[in-house]
Amino acid sequence: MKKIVFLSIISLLMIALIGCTSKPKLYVLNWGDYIDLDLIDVFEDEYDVKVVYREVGSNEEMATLLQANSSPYDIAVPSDYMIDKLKTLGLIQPIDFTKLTHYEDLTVIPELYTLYEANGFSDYIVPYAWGTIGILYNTDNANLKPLIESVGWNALFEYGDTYDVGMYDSPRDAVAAALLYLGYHVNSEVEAELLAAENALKSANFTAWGEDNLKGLVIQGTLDMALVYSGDYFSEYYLALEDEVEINFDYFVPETTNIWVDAMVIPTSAQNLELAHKFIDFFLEYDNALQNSDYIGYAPTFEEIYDTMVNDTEYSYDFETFDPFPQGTFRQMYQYGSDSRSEALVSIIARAKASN
Amino acid sequence: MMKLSLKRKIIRIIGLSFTVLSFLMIFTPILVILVLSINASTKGYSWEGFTLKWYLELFQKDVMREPIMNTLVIAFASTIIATVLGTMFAIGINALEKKKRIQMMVINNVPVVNPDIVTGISLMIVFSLLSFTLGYYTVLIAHVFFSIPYVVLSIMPRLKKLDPNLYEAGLDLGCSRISGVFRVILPNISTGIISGALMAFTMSIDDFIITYFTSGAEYMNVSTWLYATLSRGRSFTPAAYAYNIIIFAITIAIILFVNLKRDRKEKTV
Amino acid sequence: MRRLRPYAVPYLLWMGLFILIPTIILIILGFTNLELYNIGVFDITLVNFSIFVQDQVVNALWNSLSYSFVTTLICFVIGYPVAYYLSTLSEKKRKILLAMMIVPLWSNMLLRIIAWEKIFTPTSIIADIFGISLDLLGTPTGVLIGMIAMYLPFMIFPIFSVLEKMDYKLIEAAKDLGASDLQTFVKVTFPLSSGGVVSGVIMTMLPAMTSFVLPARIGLGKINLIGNIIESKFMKEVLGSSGASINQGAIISLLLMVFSVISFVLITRVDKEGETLI
Repeated sequence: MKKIVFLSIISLLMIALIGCTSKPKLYVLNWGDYIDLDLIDVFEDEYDVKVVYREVGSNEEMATLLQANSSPYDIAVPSDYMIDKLKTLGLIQPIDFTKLTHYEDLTVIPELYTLYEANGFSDYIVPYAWGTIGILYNTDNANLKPLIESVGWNALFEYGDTYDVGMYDSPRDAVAAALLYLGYHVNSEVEAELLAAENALKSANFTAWGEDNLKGLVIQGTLDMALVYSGDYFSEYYLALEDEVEINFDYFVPETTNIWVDAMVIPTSAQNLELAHKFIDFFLEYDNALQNSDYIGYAPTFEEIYDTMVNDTEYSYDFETFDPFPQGTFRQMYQYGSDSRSEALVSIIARAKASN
Repeated sequence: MMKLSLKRKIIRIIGLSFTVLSFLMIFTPILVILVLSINASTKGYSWEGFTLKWYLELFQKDVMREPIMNTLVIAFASTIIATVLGTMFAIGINALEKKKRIQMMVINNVPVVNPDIVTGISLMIVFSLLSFTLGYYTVLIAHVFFSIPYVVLSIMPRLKKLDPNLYEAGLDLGCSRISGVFRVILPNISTGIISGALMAFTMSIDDFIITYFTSGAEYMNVSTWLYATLSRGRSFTPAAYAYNIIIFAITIAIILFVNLKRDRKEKTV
Repeated sequence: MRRLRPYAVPYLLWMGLFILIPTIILIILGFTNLELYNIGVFDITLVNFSIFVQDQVVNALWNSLSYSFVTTLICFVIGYPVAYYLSTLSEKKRKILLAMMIVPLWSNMLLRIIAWEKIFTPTSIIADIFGISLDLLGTPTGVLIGMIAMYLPFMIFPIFSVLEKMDYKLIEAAKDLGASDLQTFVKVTFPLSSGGVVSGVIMTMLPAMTSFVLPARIGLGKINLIGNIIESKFMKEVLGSSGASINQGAIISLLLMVFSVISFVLITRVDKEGETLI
C-alpha cells in the first residue's frame, strides 16, 4: 500500500513537471518529419525557448486546429490552397519581412514566386518546399514506363481494367488529376468540367484510395501505379538508398501538372510575434536552410540552396527528377476557390469512392 | 453413455478449436509486429535481415521519446486518479438505495457503451466551451473520464458481496468514517480495485480516438503520433514496432510473475 | 453505509458536465446553424439533415450496419464457444488464458492494423518469411477479418464473466430432472448467460460500427463507415464560414447516440447495473 501511494505521488509530480516549463514557448504546426529536429534544438538553445512541435496529417486538420484555436500557434506550414483560405478567413497575418534579416540573401525561385504571387498571398508566406503531383509506378513491369510516358494522365484513368491503379484520397488532388486528364485547369469552377471529372473518377476503376500507404502499395506490387506527391517519391527513394535495396519504382510528371508549395506562415493566434519571425529567419540562414532542405529532401524554394544541392558534389541531387518546373512544361497552382467548390470536391470524391 | 461422452467430446473439441482460432487471430498481428521490429528494412516491404537497431533507436533517438513518455505518463496518472476516484464513487453508489443505485449505474455505463468517437467529440466540445487549451491536462481529464466507469464496474460486484454491517461494526468500534473505509471496506474489495486499475490502464495505453479529439499542440501519444505519420508524415520508424514489443514483453512477464508467485504461495501454504 | 452516500455526489456532477452538457450542445448543433468555434446567434433549422440523402452518407450508414452486424454475428459464433470452453477450465488455466487475451489489447491499435495490412498484401514480408500469400486488401473479407480479430475479445470477456459466475447447481438440477445436454443448454445455461451475450454484442457492434482507421487502411479507402464521415466532418472539413460540417457531424453523432440508447434499453432489461459490460 505504501509503495502504491509513493508511486502515485511520483507519477503525479512527473505530470506536473512535464506540464510546465518556465521558458517561453513557440508553438509550431507542421507535417511529420518535415523539419530537421537538430536545428530546432539549436534554435531552442540559441533563444532559450521551448519549441512545442505538433505534427499533423492534412491541411484540413491544420486549419481545424488553427480555427479551433485550441493552442496559440506561432508558426504553421500549410500548403498553397490552404494558405489562400487561411488568409481569407483572417487566420494568418502578413509577415514583417524587415524582421527577416536573412531573407535578402536568398532568392525565391522565380517560377515559383510568379505562381504564388498570382495567388495573392506573397506577403503572408516564406516558401518552405515545393513539388509536383505525378504518377508513381512499379518498374518490375517493363510495359508500364513506355505506356505512362506516352499517355500521361490517361494512364490513371483509362487503364484501370488492365492495371491496378491507386488514387489519392484527397478531394483536391483526386479532382485535380481528373481535371488535368480532361485537359482542364486544376482550379476549374465550371460545373460541366467538374461533372466530367467526377465521371472520370467514377469510371476509372481504381483498386485503392489511399494516402501515405499508396507508395508502399506500388512498391510492393499491389498497385501498378498511383497518383502521389513528388515528396512521396523522394522519401521512398531516399529510404531505399538508405536500406540499400533495389529501387523498383519511378515517378513520372506529365507535361502539365499541379505545383504544390508548403510555406511558413504566422497565424493570427500567435502570441510571440518577435520569436515567430526569429524562427522563420533562423531557417533562412544559408547553412540552416541547406541543412534543413537536405534533411527533408524535397525541392528547396531558394535558388542559392537549390544550386548548391544540385551542383555541389557533397549533395549532388539528381537534377532530372528534382526540378519541379523544367523548361517547356506547364504548372498550375491550387487556389482555394469558393467554399461551395470545396464542398463539391469533397462530395465528388465521396461519391466516386462509393461507386468504385 | 458412450454416445453422451462422445457428444461432450465433440463439444469440447469445438470449444478448443475455436479457442485456438481466437488466439491465432488475436496473436497473429503481434507476431507480425515482432517480425517487423527485427527486420532491417525501414518500410518493412520485404525481409532484409535480422537487426536490433530499432530497439537501440528507441533509446537513442528523439523521434519517439516524447510520444512514448506521454503515453506512459498519462496511462499511469489516469489509472491512479481514476482508481482512487472510481473506488470512492463506487463506495458512494453502493451505499445508495436500490433505485438510485441503478440510475447511477446507468449513468456510469454511458461512456462504456457510447462509441469512443462520440465520447471524444463530447469531451472536445466541453473543453472548447470552457476555453481550455487542448493539451496535457485535457487528455488527462479525458482518460480519467473514460476510465472511471470501468473501475466502478469492477468494484461494484465486490462491494455488493460485502456485509454492510461490517462497516457499521467498524464504526461502532471507534473507526471514523474515513478510517472505516480504509480499514474495513478497502481490504475487502482490493481484488476489484486491482482489476479495475488494470482495466483503466488497458483503456488508456491503447487509446487513439478520444486522445485524437482532445489533444492539442502539446500532447501527442503513440497513437496520435502514428496516425499523423501514417497520413502524410514520413517520420514513421520501425522503432514503433520495437516499443510495442517491449510493452508486450513487459506485460507478459508481469503476468507470468504474478501467476508463478501465486503458485508458490499456494504450495507453501 | 448510508453515511458514505455523499461519495457519489461529485460523480453525478462530473458526469453531468461531460455527458449531459455535450449532448445538449450536440442537439443544438444538429438542429441549428450554430458555429461551434464562433458561438453567436443561431437559427433553428433542419438543413443539416440533408446529409442523409447524400450517396456517400447513405452508403457509409449501410456499410456500418452491415459490417458491424456480420462482425458481431461471427464474433458471437466464435466467441460463445470460446467463453464456454474457458469457463470449464481449471481456475489457473482460466486466469492465464484470460490474461493472454487481454495482453494483446495493450498493443497499439494502429500498429495492429498495419500488421493486418501486411498480412493481406500478397508480396509482403509475411510472404517472404512464412510463405503465406493473401490478397485481401481492399476486399470486404479483409475488412471483416480485421474487425473480427480486433473486437473478438470484447465479445468473449462479458460472456465468459457471466458463465464463470453461473451457479452450476442449476445445471446439475436440470440434469437431475432428466434434461439432455442440449435441453440444459437451451433452457438453462444460455438464458442465464444472456446478459453477457447482450453486453458482448453491444461492446462489439458499436465500436465496429464507428471504426474509421481500419476500414480506411484495410479497405483501401473504398469501404467507408460512418466513423470515417464523422472524423471528416469534425476534423477535416471544418473550414468555411458556414461551419456546417460540424453541425452535420453532430447530427450523425446524435444518430449514433440513438444506437447507444437502444443498447441501454436492451442492457437494462437483462442486467440492470451493467455488471456484465466488462
